[in-house]
Amino acid sequence: MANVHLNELVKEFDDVTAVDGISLEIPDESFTVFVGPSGCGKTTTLRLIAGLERATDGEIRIGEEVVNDSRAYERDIAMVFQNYALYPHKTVRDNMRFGLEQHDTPEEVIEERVGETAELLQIEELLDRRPAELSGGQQQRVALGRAIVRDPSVFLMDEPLSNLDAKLRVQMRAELNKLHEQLSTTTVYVTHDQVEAMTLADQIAVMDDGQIQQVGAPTHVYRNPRNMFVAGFLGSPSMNFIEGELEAANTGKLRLDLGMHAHNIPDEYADRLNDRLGERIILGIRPEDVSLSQDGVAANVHPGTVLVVEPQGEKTVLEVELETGQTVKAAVAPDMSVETGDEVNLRFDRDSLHYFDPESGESLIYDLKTKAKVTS
Amino acid sequence: MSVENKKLRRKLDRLFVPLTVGPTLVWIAAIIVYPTVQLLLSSLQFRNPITNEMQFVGLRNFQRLLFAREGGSAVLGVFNPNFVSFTANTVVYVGFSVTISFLLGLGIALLLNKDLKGRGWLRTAVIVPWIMPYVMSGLMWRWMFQTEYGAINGVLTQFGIIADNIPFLSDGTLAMMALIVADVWVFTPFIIIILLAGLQNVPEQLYDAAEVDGASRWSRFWNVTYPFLKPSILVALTIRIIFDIRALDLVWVMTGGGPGKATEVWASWLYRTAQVFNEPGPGAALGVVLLATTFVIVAVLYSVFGDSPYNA
Repeated sequence: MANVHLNELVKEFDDVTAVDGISLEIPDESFTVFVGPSGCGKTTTLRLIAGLERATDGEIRIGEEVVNDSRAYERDIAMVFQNYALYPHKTVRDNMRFGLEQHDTPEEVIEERVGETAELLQIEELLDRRPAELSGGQQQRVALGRAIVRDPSVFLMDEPLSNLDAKLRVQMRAELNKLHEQLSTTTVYVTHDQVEAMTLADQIAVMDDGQIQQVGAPTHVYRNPRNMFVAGFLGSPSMNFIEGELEAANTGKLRLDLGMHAHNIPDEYADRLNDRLGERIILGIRPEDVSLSQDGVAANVHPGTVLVVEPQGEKTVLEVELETGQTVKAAVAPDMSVETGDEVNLRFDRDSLHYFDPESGESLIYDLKTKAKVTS
Repeated sequence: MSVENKKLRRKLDRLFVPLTVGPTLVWIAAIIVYPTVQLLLSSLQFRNPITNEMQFVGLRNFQRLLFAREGGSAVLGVFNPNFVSFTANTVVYVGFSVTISFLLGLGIALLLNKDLKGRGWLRTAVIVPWIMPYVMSGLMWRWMFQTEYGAINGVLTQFGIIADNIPFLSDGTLAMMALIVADVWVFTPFIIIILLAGLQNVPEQLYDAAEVDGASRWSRFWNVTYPFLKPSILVALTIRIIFDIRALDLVWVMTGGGPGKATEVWASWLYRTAQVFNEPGPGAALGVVLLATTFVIVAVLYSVFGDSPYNA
């Protein structure tokens, strides 16, 4: 077991900076997920930790040891690859044995470990088959087995579930969770699938453009995004962003001009946003925090016309056009009878509001929200 | 669609396979089956030099070529000394040429598969020897190995490595060496091309996996590269050995089988017998021996390299 420490890590390929000075503490026994869109540098980061790429700058520590110059096999890590990377000409048993054999592990230990791991993953009956004779899910288990059998300090997983069908992915996700509970090995996991990231991680690092945009517990990051990228990346359908001008109401309170019906800024954020009076800012609200109001027109209720109705089973997603022409998505209960063209009133949940700077995309109230969380 | 139309369509459908495969089968029969049968028949006949008529002689051609004549000298009690000596020459020539060019080709292919500067240029450059006509390569090497004014003797003398010119092509052993050098030069590019194609098919992730697993360079080659390279090795060696066993051009142009019979190999022996001595029957018999040997070699190669990750 070991923690992993990344300090100002940089990786450049010719003219491209794939990893741009990231620092992160990955605690011992944690399940840390790097999540981000394609090309954000998450896989490169994983490969840097694995020792499959050499860092251009910065430091990687596994446990107490700086491993920048160590070869992959000296780092006591095991990796699960996106396409499994099983040796196709070797049986499942030999695939699992291979890593141990390279380290001159005694035969009886190899046999014992392979046996135990196969039992843990329920792949005993597959041991004498070759990868081509296995289904995707089974290959995935073998790939996990090959990593587990080595009993490394750190597991590195590069989008291991992305080649599985939706149902199997959900099942394997649960199994990965269970395995992590059983083995407690520090795990660094890379995915572009935010649901996978949210369900597996106890620490999530959202990456974009070679940089970590935000790190934290999944729910915390989800509820308190530091910037518009994180806010928009996590969650499906993603967060609504509505741009408007900050103005002072007759009452002296701050409000966001959204056409006919202004959006009142809650008092706790007023001080912070006061200096931006007359400027444009962006209101962020997640679709599940937008509800249909039965009260008619009232404060913070915005009338609009339903453009699209998307029943998704457990919820129905509505796309509503506000009077300003901006569209807002709302996730409502599936039994709500709404049709295209209906006039509806949208209510934004007061506790779930976010405000962003339109230029930098940074949250204007991140610290206020997190402080409120801590004190409440 | 009417019933008649449907019937017509079905009839046309049934004709599809014979119409498309048929011409190919006829072609194969014309260029493979007929000559092979003709070869087998000829090997059992002898042309009377006076009447020019072909006579059926059974296995006598084989007997004459492979086994010693009654009262004549014999190797191992029964074999024709010529047969044994030419077979030995062939084994030496093919064995050394193929082994050296394979190892050399593999090394260069591995090198060219790496991210080298000027790799594209190098890849093109290595093919040059192979695209030259064999006869031209043979003439070039004959001149290079020439005793009096050959380039190799010239260079060796100039650098003070030798005092007297070496008669490369008039010494039996040296002539065989010269042949092998020329053959390696001509055919290594072929090996490189085939193996390079094979190397480019090895999934990159497997090297990563092996690296993480702690495999040494040698172990990575043996456990990742080699299994994926087996089909290419099979193709390269099969074609290479077949080419060499029946290769006449280089030998004929460079040494003509000499000095004496020091470099007479099966292919030149066959040509000499059939064309120079005008004995088609024994020539065909040699052809049959050559064909059978090739089949055996290919079978052995398949058993060694036939199993690969691609058919796992």
